[in-house]
Amino acid sequence: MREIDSFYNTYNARHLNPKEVAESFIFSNSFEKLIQNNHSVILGARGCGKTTLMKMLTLPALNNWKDSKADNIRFNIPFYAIYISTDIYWDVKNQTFSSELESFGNFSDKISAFSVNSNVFTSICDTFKNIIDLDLNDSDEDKEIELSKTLIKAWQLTSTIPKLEYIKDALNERVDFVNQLIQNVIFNYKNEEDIPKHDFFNLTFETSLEVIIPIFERIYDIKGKKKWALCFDELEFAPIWLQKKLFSSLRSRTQYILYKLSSSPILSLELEKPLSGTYRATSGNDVTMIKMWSSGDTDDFSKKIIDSYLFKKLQIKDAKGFFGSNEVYNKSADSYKKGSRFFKEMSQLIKKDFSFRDFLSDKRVDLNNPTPDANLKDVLFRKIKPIVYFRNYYINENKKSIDNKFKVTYRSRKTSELYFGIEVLIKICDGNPRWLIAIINSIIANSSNQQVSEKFQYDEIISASKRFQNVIANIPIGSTTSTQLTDVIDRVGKFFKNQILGITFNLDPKGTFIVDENKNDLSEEVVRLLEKGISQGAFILVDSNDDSFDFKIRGQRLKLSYLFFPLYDLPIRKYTSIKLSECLKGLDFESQNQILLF
Amino acid sequence: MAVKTLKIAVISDLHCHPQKEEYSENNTLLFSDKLRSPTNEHPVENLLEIIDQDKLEVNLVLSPGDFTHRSDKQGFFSGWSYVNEISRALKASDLIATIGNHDIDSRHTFSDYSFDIPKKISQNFPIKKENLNLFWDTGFTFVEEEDFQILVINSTHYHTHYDKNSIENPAVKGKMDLGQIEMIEKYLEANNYSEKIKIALVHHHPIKHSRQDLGEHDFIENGENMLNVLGRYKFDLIIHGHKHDPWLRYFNTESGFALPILSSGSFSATNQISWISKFNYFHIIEFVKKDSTPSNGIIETWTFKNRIGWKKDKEDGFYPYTGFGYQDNIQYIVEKIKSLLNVTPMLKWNVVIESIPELQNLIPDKMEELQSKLEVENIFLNSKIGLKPKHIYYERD
Repeated sequence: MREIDSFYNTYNARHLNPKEVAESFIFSNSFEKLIQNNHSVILGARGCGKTTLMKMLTLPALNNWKDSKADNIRFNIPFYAIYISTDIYWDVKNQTFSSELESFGNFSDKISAFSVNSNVFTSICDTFKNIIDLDLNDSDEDKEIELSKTLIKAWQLTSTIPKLEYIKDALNERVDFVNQLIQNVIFNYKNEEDIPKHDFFNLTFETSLEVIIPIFERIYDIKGKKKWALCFDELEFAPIWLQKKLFSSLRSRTQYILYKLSSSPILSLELEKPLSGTYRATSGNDVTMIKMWSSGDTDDFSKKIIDSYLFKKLQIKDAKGFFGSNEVYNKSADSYKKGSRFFKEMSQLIKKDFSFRDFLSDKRVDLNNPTPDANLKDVLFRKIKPIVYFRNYYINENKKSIDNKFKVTYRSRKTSELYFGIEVLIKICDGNPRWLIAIINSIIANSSNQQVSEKFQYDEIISASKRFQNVIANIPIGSTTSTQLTDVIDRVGKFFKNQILGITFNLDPKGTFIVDENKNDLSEEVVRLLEKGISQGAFILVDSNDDSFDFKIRGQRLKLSYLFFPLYDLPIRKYTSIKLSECLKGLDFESQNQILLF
Repeated sequence: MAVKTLKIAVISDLHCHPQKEEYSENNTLLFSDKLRSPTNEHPVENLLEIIDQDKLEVNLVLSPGDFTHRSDKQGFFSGWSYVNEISRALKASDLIATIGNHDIDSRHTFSDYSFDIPKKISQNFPIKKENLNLFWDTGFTFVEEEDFQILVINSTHYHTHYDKNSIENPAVKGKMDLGQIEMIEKYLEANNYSEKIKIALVHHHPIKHSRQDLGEHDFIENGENMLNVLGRYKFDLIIHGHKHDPWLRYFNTESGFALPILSSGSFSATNQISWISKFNYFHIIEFVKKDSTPSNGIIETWTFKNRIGWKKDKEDGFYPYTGFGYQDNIQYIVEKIKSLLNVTPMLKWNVVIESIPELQNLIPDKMEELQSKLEVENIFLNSKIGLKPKHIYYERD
């Protein structure tokens, strides 16, 4: 478990400071959208790069970013970003103290608000300091004293030297004081009314900002220069009151404050109401929605990551030359001609797979010379190409037996030699940089040549697939759940495998699924597992509407993460959909009892 | 005006012994058979790195005893070697030590005579031969140099046997005989060099040290009598070990002279960590003596924690920056600070120190008194004085 964590976390931006994040940052469409002059919401699974994008908005990151676009963005970015990382302890009721504070009324709500405020205030200090040092280069101590006095007053701090660094110390000390107060309350108090009152519990960060920012702008003479963006990262871990407040703030009245929020793809149902009122904040209107899984430049982004790491480690610029090209997916002009590799694959499969033979005959393709003769055929050939490769690779024989039914036998294949090459690497992580960087780094760690072997690549890919499977198997799903997420993935994966490698050659195999609307067809338990799977990147929303938030997954089309595909011998393609309930029931599993769970 | 200076390092209570298999039987971080890597688990190796990095140098190393644990011979040899090794690294011209109760075999576990082992350690233990004089016979000796006079006391001199059935068990506490004190007094009368820096080194605490339930019965019998003598001759500092609880305070002697006493805390023992949450300490003390006035002292203290190493960044039982010697009214300092801040409300602390150097000569209690007096005046520091603050600020509106 420790090994899995370290493999996965090495590339987690949470553990990097903004400067370090900038060192390996790669520009993407999502970042382009995020730096616009409006509210934004970034939604995406774990490891998809949300935190990297959010941290890149800060001055230390921008100033440390070396890229041709960097100067322009540094100069023109229309806001100063205040980056706030969600702390799971903000959720006082569910994470920090559950039952201990139950009998003290809304004391735990106060603590939760206090914790959030303290983090925001500390981030404001950091942001101010960065602006003063990096953007304004202003070393006038009197200005800092005047600003600090404002903060000390606004945040009700006592005995604090008016310098930003000591205000941060004082905020920390107050957090420590409150922690002691909580212990004191738990052990020495009975009623909420008896708890000592402290005025700082009544502070709110939004109103506080509205006081402080105009004063900062006046002191440093930058009135109206830029807006201010409150960037709340990983909001899925935040208490629901804060999520409600922040998502409602997307229709904020305060002209100079923007909100940039990041969360996992499926928002809590409790947010549906605040987000669907009359004044709903809608995408394109005043909120930019950034769905990381459908950003449109996923492949391009992945390619840039591969190029960047290959160059950084080995000074090699030609990624295609280094990793090679995979016949299953490449689009060379003569790939369907007689004598081509594909032609040979077709001919071999025709000999052993009678279902394929029937299919071709049906499509009026000459079995002795299976080449496309018209445009229409070209489309057909392109469509069947991966399936032909996969069937030819895995199937030993598929012929009709005595009862006139097909019976398929498979070759024993230990490794999936079909997973290699630049086309596969670009797709395999669905644009999730954390996994992609991990795979690329381990492939090139021991390579110094101009080329890396196919075997080395698929070994690393399979190893990453297994690690991902382990990560998913280890996510907490709660004690009430009897079904495992990995079971669902396994059933779906096997169903799709049968679509590709089963007795029937399918032109349109099923490769994605729709989550059933009806609770009788698919239990809530499975739906909850799917939600967890989505936030971890095990499942990915397909055709998600770019203009709206997703609160429910029933009715949505999902795919398995491509990283699971090598475990189920599936070609890296997005095929048509089927109801999830069909997927789960459609296979004859080893244990009939298990099926009942679904 | 004649000014004498002296820089010393203090290493106390190592309690060295070979590592025992049974975890609970181990009493030190500094085993005689301890490997030196990782360095942050080895108090000596880690300190050598710091000495090298910070180019630390002293004139003398003083060590108030308990090199070994329960008179373990191997622990004794290693402990003495460790201290010698540090002393060489610090380029000290001399290493002066005394004996602790663990250094003698008062329970006669290994010998019939308590002092058999310490006397046979040799290698200039505890003092160079030429300075040893009658140390073993009288229980004390003086080391005289041009700039300093050091009284080395053997407070275990009467630990000749162990008698657990008697209230007067001699091995429980330190003891000085009144005749012994008289001899010391006579020596001081005959060798009264008021311009020398005067230090007394002893293992047991000469006055009660019973805070934190540390026990009341082990202080030196007749200790106060001895301190009164040392007060009369205006000793600059008394350094003792034994308690593993660092503490710097004054003792008001009969003559009206307040004698600074440093309980040095342990360099590497572990039992106090769980018992009283005190860790391990290493001090460097700088004395400055003008003519015959009592020394002003500045103490820098490093704290060792296992797997963290020696640090000087927070108060873990003892402030990293303390001192002694300033005995005037604290209010004078408050007034001086105020008048500085009346010109500029915020100042860097080192600027304040330059103008008011006596700020460095306050014992911890006085530092805290000063800090609360300043707060009453709306003068704030960004940290405790003993942590060397960066800024001070006078809030006047």
